Amino acid sequence: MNKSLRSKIAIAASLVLSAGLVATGLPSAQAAGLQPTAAQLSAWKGKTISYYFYNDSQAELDTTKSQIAAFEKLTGATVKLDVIPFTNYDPTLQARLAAGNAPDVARLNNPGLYINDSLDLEKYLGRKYKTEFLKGSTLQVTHPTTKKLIGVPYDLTVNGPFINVEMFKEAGVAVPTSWNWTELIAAGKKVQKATGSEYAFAIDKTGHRVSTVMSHFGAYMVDKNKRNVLRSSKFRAEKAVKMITDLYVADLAPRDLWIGTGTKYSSPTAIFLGQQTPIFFSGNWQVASLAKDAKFEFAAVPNPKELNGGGWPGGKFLTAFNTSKTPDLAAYFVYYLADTAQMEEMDKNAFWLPVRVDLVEKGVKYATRSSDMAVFQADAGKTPAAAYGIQSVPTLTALIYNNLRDLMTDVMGGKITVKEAIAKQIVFIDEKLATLKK
Amino acid sequence: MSKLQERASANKWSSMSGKKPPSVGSILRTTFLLVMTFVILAPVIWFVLSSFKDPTDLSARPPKIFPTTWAFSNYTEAFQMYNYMRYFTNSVIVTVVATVLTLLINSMAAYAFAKYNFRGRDGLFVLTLAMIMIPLQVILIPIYLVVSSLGLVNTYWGMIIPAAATPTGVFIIRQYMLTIPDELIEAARIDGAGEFRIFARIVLPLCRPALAVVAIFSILWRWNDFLWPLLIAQKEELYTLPVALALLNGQLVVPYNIVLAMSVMSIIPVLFMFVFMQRQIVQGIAQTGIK
Amino acid sequence: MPYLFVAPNMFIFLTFIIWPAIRGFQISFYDSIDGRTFTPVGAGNYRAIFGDPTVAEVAKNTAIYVIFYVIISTVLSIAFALIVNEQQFAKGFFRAILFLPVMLSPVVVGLIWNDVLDRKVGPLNSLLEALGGGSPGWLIEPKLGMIAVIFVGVWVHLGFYSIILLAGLQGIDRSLLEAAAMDGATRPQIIRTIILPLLKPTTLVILILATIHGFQSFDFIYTLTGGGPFGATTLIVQYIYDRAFQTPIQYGLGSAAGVVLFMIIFAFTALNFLLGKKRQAI
Repeated sequence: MNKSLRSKIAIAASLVLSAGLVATGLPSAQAAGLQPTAAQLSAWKGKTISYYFYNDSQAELDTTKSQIAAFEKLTGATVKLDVIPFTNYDPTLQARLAAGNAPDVARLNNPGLYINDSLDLEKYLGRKYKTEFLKGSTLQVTHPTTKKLIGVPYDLTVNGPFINVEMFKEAGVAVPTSWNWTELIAAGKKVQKATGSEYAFAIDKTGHRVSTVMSHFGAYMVDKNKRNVLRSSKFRAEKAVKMITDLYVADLAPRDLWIGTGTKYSSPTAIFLGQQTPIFFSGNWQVASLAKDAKFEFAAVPNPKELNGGGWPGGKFLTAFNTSKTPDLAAYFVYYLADTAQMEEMDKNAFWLPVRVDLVEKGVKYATRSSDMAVFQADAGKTPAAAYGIQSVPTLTALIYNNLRDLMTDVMGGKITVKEAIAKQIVFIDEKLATLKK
Repeated sequence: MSKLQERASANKWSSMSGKKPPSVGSILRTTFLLVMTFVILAPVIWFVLSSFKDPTDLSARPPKIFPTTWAFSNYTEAFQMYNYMRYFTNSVIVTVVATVLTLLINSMAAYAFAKYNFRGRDGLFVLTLAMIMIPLQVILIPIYLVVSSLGLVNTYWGMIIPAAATPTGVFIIRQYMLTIPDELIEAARIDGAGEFRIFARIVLPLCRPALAVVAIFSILWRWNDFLWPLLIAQKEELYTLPVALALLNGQLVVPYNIVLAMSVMSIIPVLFMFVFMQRQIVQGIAQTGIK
Repeated sequence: MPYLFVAPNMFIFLTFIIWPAIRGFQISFYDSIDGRTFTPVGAGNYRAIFGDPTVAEVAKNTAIYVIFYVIISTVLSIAFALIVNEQQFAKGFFRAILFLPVMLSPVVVGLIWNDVLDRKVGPLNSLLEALGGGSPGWLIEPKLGMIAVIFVGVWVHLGFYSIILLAGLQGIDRSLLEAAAMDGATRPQIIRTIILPLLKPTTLVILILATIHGFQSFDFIYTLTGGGPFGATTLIVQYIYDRAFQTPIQYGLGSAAGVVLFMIIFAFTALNFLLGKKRQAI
């Protein structure tokens, strides 16, 4: 099979799949929702559950607090909200689990770590419950062996670029409605030259964001059958990674921020806010903080399209733990936070993208920045199905992303070539996948 | 201080050994110390100024010493997001109680190490010193298991008791106690004073300078502690300032300007203590005569 | 009786450090990705440590850091103590300034120097540029990164050591110095032949403390460089921290590295202590 034919098939397949992703689900998804029975209410009265939580924005915290108040009123139970710093979030939770001091419910970004501690939600909320969420989004909260639903997706994140509209205007570069990577980089350089900004481009320092770029070029690391597919898309991956690292090596992107932070995550938000880069590649979660802090006009623009367009999926999850003394209450709390009304409120306030089928169909109406959110929402639909493949190995995703990030650091430092980096990554993925089979 | 004043006081200089006029040596010395002052103060001042900069100023090149517009909003926002007084109070409670406890138990241990001969003394002392060397990070989960089985999670005591036994404190006080003549204690014993009485009435008052030093270090350590309170306090009402500061860093979004403002807010109480107590602090340390 | 005096302190050590540390020692013979489920691996973790090139690199970094940190800290703090001690004008002020960095939390220290050492928007490089010194990548070049980290480490603790030494200087009998001066000894001679030898016990204390501090340096480095550039400032404690907190979490490996680190520092301290005891120094 030649390359172009294969990619055409891939595109066709991904179109079909991503269409399916949005359209499945129940059109009449329990409009009334699940109400607690009288027996449950009397059993729950006076009970306390704890909710292990972290937040990226003040809006997330405020909304959570008000929703908890409403939940307490509805059920007569008390919810203890433990707001935990994200530094050491998982180790602290692990320690609590080890000590038999687990919370009842937690917001998680890495549910793969807790698959055997999580409550089977289907027992309390029914087998159909998972169909209330976008199909691909429940992969990471499906128990790998029992296939039961052990958590719910709480939001959908989509990666994509932001631009500084004022700088684009100043340089006489049109705000793109569709573009490819060559055009993106050319635009960035042109604006940089015209405005005298420090950089042309900046991207979050994570393998997760870089995977978006690889996806555009048709390169993936793991497929939905837990197979290493980087080997077969090696040349495309090299092209994508080289493009990014070249920008950093040439000082067109903030190399200091990437190299100077060791193995830590870092985001060039401050550089974008300081108007030192016209293009900032991140994701929709930035909208809230950019809207608050940017002193200039900015906009989310569509992801560049090479072989593929679209973003790269991510998201956070809600999980109840099986050590809960009131598992039905914990499950109901998860249900409550993830039901249509609460989710819609949270999506609106915190600029989250909906992950519920009914909300996707209906569309969330954001008070401000609705056009930015529409761009991300559209890119969510264009995301190739292959992008969800890596979620089939929930315990390995972070490892694989971090290794890619660290290899790129070495490339930027001239320690290894891009070819060597991808070759090492292929071996790394093989090794990690082999550990699953043990 | 103006140049004139400087020169005026320079005229009064005298070196330790004699009454010579300002020599080349003393000028060199003062220059050296002024350079040192710059190297220490400049970064701190720069940092404080940065906390008043908006993102544009923060990434301006060349960097600006003073903000173009003073972004007090960094602070007002931090206060809005943040129950500063709550965290401040928690920090104070933990710091003060832990320090008192530290002084008591450390000096007791130090007394035994300095003034008694008993089987296993040197072993226990080296073991005490060895405690400094165990990285907390790696025994986090075992520690948590202990703390939680004792019911100390989410309590002030959980943040206070485990941290109160400091090896360095024992070390400093012991070194000082070595200088107290044994005859003093012997004399008290002959007079029939009990061991605790000797310790509390005779030894402790003599150790005041060393106790002051340990008090200061204990205050600094507890005030700046992060990992321990993070582990123990799992509800917001119990957070200390460093833990609360970490709350600002989300998973994906780190509001750098607010982190700066909050960092400055967390060092202000310490700087305050420093400015008003520096004489006592430094002289206290200088008097310990650690040998 | 003495046991009663040591008891409270030892009780806390036993409960909250020694017992968990023994558990940690046990864990070092297992593999665990979450600290809850354990697979026995025998001495596998130790074999992995001694065979792992990353660990060799970390060990090398730690050795470089500790050696330079200890030597520079000791020499500079002796120099500062002597200078401040001789100083008449504004002595208290200089003493106080020296002590300021000791009071800052390690995380804030990291943030401060991150700000100051930035290649492009940091004041140090704009100062150097004005002096025609170019703009070195303090935090992105491995050698400079190590230099920066050693410098900041010394910056933080110098005041602490200097003040302990100042205390030692107060203990020196003045009449001894005056007698030497009367015999016509010059200041450098007095320092070399009288002050420094008498300062030996205090210097030993500094050496012990600095060695321990050196091996333990972590928080400010983690904030400043994250162990970068290219792992050049990843020291042993960060390696342990990463294995316990960052993916890939390997508690057993981290515990084993912790055990090894503990043994190294313990050996150093015991050695220092015994040498000091032999010379009646402490």
